[in-house]
Amino acid sequence: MARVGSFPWQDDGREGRGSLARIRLRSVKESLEHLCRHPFVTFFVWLLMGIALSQPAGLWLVQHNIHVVMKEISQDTGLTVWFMRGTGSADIDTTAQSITASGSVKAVTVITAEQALDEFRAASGFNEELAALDSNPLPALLVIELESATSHEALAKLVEGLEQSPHIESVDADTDWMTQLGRMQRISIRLVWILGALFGTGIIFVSVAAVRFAMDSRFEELRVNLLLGASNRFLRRPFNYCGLFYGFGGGVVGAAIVVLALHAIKKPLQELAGSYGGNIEFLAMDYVFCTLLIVVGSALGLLGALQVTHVQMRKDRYLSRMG
Amino acid sequence: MSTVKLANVSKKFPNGFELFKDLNLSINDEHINFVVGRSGVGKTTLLQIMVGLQRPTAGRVMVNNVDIAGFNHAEMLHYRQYVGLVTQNSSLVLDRTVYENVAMPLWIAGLREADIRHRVDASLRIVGMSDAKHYSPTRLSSGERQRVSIARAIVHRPKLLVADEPTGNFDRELALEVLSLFDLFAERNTIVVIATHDPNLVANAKRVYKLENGEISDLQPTSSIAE
Ligand SMILES: Nc1ncnc2c1ncn2[C@@H]1O[C@H](COP(=O)(O)OP(=O)(O)OP(=O)(O)O)[C@@H](O)[C@H]1O
Ligand SMILES: [Mg+2]
Repeated sequence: MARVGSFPWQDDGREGRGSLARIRLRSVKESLEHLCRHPFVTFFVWLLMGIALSQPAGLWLVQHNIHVVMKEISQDTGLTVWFMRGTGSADIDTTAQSITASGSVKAVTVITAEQALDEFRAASGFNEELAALDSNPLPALLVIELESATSHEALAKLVEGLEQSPHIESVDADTDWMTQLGRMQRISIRLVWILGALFGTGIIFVSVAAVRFAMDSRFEELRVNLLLGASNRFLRRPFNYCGLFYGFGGGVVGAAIVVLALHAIKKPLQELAGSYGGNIEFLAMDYVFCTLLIVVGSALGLLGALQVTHVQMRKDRYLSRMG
Repeated sequence: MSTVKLANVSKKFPNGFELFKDLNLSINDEHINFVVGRSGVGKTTLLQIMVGLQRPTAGRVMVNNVDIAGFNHAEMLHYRQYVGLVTQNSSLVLDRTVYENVAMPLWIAGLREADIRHRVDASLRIVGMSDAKHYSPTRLSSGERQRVSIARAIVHRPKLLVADEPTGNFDRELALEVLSLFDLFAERNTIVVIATHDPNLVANAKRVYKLENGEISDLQPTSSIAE
């Protein structure tokens, strides 16, 4: 009488407790052994994956930093309003008040012609020369600090209004380049996604090829293991770990590439940014970012391995036959 | 008592060649079961059906009253973990050491490394291959490889021990030694099946089955001696 879903023998518990943990540990050991047995393959897989990871990661870092710098600059954004020379203090105050009343303005500082001259005198040291002048050559000006949320449109409108005033000589507001930068940022974010998808697929393919090679090189062992009744999961596991370790190493290499590349461009960048007097430190290039890169690399490597071990194990040649 | 019963088992290959039809056979763990017959008669195929490496075209393969012919792939693999298998051409992994080859069934079972070492050493000692522990199978003679195969087949204390020409490359003395080893397993409730065409091996056998023209006949001990 056939017992459906039963087994000829009682489970004799020979595997004992913790057997799965031991099997896993052995798989880890075996996959690391494979990586060591083929050092050149391992090296190139790591390098390829690292380069592939570094592209979108590097671009993301650059665009992120531009974004941050932009935000900072736009926080500092203000207008400088130059009055005609000889504009009376009453007119200056009226203008200042009307600007304050228009909203979207954080602070308005009036710098009278006298103050400007004093400042210039202090800064330049041209004491006598300036004293010899019978009239003040400097105009009065308003330094306007805008709310950081001020849109480019609102700013443009404010500038337009000011420029119509007869007392005002000119208004400095360099907003065009910021608009351009904003556009570029949007493009580069999109590019990060495109690069990420492309290179991510590339990493999976590299993992697939490398794990396939690993499986082929251990074909005899897989076949004999099947003969001995090893489960598919048992057979796949070391190769899945292989993919994981390839991806992990790729992540480490990728992070290293980004760090080195940023280090290399840091100096010229600092010179470029010298006019701002800033000391460029790349934002977000920290442990979290590196960890994320390694996690993403590992995940992609594992994904490729899971795919290829699944497909390979279904192939007929891996199905058991007697030697 | 453990039993293997083949009920109306037929085997037809994809190329249309029908090896057996409605084969019936019942064996148990009391004694070693020998399957004899001329080359090409289907001994290997019969053993492979018993261990689930081939499926019968029709019929049932009852192992302790469970039909293994109905097992799915995963169940079959699990079943095979309880089987000791000595294949006709020793299937050792050539880029692994003798020790590692013998340890394979125990790795699958997930035993502790210390237990594995203990058991592998014991198995290799039984077949007289302790000294070759760290050798590659490539440098062993075919008889020595066969002994390593036997060590691997017994290392996990199988419930069913199936050996296909296990003594093909052995001298008479060694063959008898291996036979007494298999006897020990039969005494300990393991079903032992040996396919052979070595008449010396079956000289004193208690259970001999002869395959001929797709039919199996039970040779009585008396008649096997008489032959
Ligand atoms: N996949 C197959 N397709 C077709 N015929 C096959 C297949 N496998 C085996 N055979 C045939 O089945 C017959 C029995 O083969 P088997 O290996 O079982 O014989 P055997 O009794 O073990 O022989 P030997 O004593 O030489 O090992 C042979 O004639 C063989 O050609
Ligand atoms: Mg045969």
